[in-house]
Amino acid sequence: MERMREVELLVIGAGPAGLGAAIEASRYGVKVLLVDDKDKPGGQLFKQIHKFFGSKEHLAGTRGFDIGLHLLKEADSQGVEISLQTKVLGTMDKDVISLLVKEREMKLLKAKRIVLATGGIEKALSFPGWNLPGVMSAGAAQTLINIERVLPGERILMVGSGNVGLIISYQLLQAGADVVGIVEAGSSITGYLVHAGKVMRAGVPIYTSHTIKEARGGKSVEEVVITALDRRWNPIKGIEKTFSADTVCISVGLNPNGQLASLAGCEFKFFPELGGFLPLHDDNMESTKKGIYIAGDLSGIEEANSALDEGRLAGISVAASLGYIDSNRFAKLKEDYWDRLNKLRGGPFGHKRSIAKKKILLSSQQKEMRYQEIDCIELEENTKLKNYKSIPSLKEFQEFPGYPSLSRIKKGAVACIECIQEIPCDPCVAACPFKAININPYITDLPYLDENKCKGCGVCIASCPGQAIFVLNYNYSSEKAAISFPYEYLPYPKIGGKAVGVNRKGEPVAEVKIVKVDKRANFDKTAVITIACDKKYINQIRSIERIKDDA
Amino acid sequence: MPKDNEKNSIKKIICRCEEITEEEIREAIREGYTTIKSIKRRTRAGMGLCQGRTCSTLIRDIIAEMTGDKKEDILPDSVRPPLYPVELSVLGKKVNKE
Amino acid sequence: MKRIKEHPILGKEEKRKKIKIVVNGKNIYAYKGETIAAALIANGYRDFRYTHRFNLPRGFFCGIGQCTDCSMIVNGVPNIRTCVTRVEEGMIIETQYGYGDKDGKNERS
Repeated sequence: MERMREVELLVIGAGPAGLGAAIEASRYGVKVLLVDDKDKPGGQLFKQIHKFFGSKEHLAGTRGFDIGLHLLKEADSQGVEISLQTKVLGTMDKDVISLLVKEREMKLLKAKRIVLATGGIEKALSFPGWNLPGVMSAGAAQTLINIERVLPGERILMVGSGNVGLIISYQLLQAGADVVGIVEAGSSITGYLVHAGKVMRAGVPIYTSHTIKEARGGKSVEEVVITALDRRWNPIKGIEKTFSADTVCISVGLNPNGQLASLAGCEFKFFPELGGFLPLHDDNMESTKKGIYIAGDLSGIEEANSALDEGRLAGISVAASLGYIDSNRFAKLKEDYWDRLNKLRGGPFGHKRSIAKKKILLSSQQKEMRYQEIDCIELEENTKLKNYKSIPSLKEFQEFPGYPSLSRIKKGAVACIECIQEIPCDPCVAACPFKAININPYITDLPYLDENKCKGCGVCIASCPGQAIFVLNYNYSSEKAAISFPYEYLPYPKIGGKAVGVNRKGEPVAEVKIVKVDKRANFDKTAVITIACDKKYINQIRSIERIKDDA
Repeated sequence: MPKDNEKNSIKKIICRCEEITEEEIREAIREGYTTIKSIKRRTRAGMGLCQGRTCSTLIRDIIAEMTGDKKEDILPDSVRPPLYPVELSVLGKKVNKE
Repeated sequence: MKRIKEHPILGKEEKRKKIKIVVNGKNIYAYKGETIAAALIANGYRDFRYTHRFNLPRGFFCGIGQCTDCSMIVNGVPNIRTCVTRVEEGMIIETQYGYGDKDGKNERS
């Protein structure tokens, strides 16, 4: 009988959290085996074609798939062994893990430490007809368009206005589909307003206080019915809309994928802010089961940057526990990662998650009585999230520190930053060659435009992952103003041609002339379009109608 | 398996694998099966190939709505290996070898 | 549905090898490396199987091999999750009825 293989660290799941853990543990000398059930590593990163938020250390402003490539390179240079198409079936015996490789071969393995990075599972939403072909999870549609390059349909209804729903709606448009609408059961948009802004400028309506009532069709979806909801989330009779649609995408959040953790005997608790039941963990990311660490969406649904940093933290914790890092060094590294994680969880969007994470740490130490302290923090922090049902008015935008004053606008080209929610993101600061944009002291603070330093050069436009920066040139000519904005659709408009200028909600405002299409390489596929229009539209027009490719 | 009302209840399936309808889940709850585990045993919801990965949160919502129980008190069903379907021949091969 | 030939971020479609697969007796073309589900959707197929109890159509749903809704009979083997199985030259793919077992001859009940 062949001797059973024993590894120092088994990392399960090769998404950002698992890669982060494997990379860091290897860096300090731990022998790591990273397994994933798919035939490619990277988890969901390779289908993320948008530019990520975050700060420099998170490679903010880089597209998700490029971050994925970067991580794979890092894993490779650290000598991480990756076994793909490898499913963990469970633990057969004490400490013995059974793996199923390529559906055909069973392997048994021992591991001194385990990092579970099993990610999240998309939540379901049931409605009559949700079993019809054409109804699918938003993540499934994203795989089709961005990995397989096949459209799931041509007229799509998105259910859910969280960041995932908004981003995938945008990507469906980029892939050439029509998104007939986004329905949101809550009374306001739940994702970032900048993501909502992208799809709204493209003319996609967002129906808040609405849900899908039914999908109808014979062999697949042919039409969908949406209905308005009252304050108690009950359908309001008579307020219904029927759309012709061939596809419904469900994007109503994720649950931590806790099956393996549960099997391993980790203690779970319910944290609705983080997606539901999840394993408790301490500040080393160790679960209640000694030697089993968790990271990423499994330890609470967040986003890729936090997952990566939690993974890295779990990796150094494992290395320290195996004696590869001395305690002083470990304490310093750990503090750095917590600092980064706390920054990502700063601001009103991260507030609830941040509190829930604190509760997890306390419960894992069985310090139940300190819950009261948490309640105090909750009350003290005055970071209330401002909710929006739709894109706010111009007047509201003008109140924020990124919007130039009227007098400055009249002086000539100037950036106009329409980023009005405190989200963890700052690539615009580094992009500006004149240091005219500041975000401080926290990465979640709003960008402040120093309008006297700004020369209106426009390199910030493509740097903004939220596509919320525009350049306004009031003095383009004696009659016309010029407006520059980011544009990521095909085909591109032709210089000298005409287009329909639209406002922030995608409503047509006026005919405009295309004066520049800037596709320079360091804009990384975000074209910057400049249009000329009547001066009176300087605060209104923010994009153009997409050009239909009928060829 | 309750057959009454089947025509209407076809309209809203909760467990996609076993095709268990919302009405069947509600009927089981009315009969007193108020945990995810007991509903699974009563109706087969969550017993299919996906092992409740899709429907268990939906069932939790229905239980919470009908019984007034808090969602955090409605525990997921216990997990048993193997986590993924494995052909018996593959399992058998290993057992023989070791 | 259609393939995305050009994409503002992902660029032009890569040149991939065309292969032939057989779907319910009909020859269709797929690209080497893609999943069966993608090849079928690109060719306009959406109802992959019909369910055991209510005989209702199902198709591509979770996309990660978890829900088993997209199962079909592939080279005679039922319950193959087409969203995570890649096409191969000459693959024979059939709509699955019920559990797709031979006793039922995989016919509609």
